[in-house]
Amino acid sequence: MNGRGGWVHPIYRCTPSIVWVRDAGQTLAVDEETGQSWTLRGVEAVVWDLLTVGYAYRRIVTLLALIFSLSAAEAEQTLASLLRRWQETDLVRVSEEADDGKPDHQCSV
Amino acid sequence: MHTLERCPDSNIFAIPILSKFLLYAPMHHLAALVDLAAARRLRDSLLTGTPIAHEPLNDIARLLASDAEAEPVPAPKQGDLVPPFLGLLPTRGCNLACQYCGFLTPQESWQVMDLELARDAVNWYVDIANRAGLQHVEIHYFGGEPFCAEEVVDLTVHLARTRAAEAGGTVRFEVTTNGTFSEKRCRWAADHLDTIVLSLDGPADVHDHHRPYPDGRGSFETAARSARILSEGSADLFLRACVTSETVDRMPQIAAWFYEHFRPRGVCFEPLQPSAPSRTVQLEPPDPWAFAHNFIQAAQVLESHGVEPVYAAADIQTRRVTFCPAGQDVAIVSPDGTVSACYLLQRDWEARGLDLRLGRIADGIVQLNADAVASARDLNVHNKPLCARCFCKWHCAGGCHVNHAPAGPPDTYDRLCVQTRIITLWNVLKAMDQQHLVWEWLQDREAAAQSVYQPSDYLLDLEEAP
Repeated sequence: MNGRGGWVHPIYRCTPSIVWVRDAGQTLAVDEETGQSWTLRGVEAVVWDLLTVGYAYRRIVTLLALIFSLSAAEAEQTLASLLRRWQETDLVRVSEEADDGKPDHQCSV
Repeated sequence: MHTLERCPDSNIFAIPILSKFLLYAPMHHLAALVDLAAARRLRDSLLTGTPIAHEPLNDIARLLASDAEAEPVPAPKQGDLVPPFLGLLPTRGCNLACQYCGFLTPQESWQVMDLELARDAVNWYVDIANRAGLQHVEIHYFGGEPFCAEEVVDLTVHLARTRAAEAGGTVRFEVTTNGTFSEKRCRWAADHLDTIVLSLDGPADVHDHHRPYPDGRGSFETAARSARILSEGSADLFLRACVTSETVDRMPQIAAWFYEHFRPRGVCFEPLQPSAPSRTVQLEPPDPWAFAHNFIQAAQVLESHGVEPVYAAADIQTRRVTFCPAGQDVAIVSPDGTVSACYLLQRDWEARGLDLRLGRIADGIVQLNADAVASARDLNVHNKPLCARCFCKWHCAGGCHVNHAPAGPPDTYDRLCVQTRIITLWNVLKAMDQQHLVWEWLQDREAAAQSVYQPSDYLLDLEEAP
């Protein structure tokens, strides 16, 4: 836990070799080194966008809950599961820095 | 003069141009250059219903006399409120301290829109649009500087897009910004928004003088970098330059500089709106004749490079009863939950004796006042005496209800009217491929002034002598 009583979350960063483009409501991400690609739609595209623009974990949870009418717990579960999956496929990596849950926007990409 | 009741059609205008008259009937989509004798014969024919022996002139008279050939006169909104777009003010705060800005200064406290309020506003608006069967919704962001509350922008963009997709519809986003955001945010804006109106007053010396940061540093470098990035993006970029008495003669140069350095879809020149801060630093609005003259020159420079020159009040493609959001049923939500018809400050409306609040959003409940909606709809050109006999009335609709209050009779055209009348005239002549006449006309300032200050443009008010 951090000094303010909140859970410390890792900062997720986009894998450096990933490039992406947004088109017609979906995001196409491509790993320039491996050629692997991902098509992100709906909640995935939203999370990717929030992550790449620099939001910290807790703020993404808050925004997801509001956008998709989810409870905080549901939003967190959705996000955690997505990030785990993306980590496994090397779409994102965990940064060395810690996310203390501050609502400011840290550039995580 | 004829009263409206006596006029068979009060939307046919005759404006003297040199030795001719520009006959302009916007509802009939007709413009023609005729001599005085022909104008009189047309007037008499319309008044008496008598055909004109001269064949081409009679064709015009028949067309003008036919309601079937005319577009209906624009009418104020009626029925349920269905906003053509939702305006959001994420914050009134701004990170700049522009010399002429009459909005909140950086020293004043900022209020940022609560995220739940932003969500409720979007859901309310999308629900209305869905009930009305609209397939397309629009959100416009105003400020302050909207990106000083970027979380509100992010939330509402994704929420509106998600809601629109659920309904099988589309959503369009437009923002007015100072462009002093990070490179990353700028690329985001270029990728996610549809129209970006970026305030850029010109090259560094002009822009930095007008638009410094609170610590006095100029904002040109960042704004210009944003303009370059946005030039490469998919969003339509409009550069918006505020023109003062000091910069009015540089408008053509500024236009050239814009297209040389950026790739905007359009360039909008707006004369300075005087405010307490602008008076303090002695920034003055431009002379309207100089503004119109230089706008036309700048417009020619821009058009020759495929860039659209924008002076919205003189847009002859548009026929409307109100120039701005007020009166169009637009709902603008402020950071405190007030829903209003206008994005300007409440203190500015109040100074004009207007109350443009439509209702409020609180705790997820939207309450609109039907009387307030009706009052906002009354803000239209039908109720502006100054505009009654002006040929620009269906295009500029009297301009901003707050900053331009045309309450007087038709012989009291002010600065805004003068420049709008000249530029509109140019636009009409341009549509006829006769724009060269404007320069000749403007050279004889006395004759031009007679046209510009003509108290009635009605063809039916055409004087007999000489």
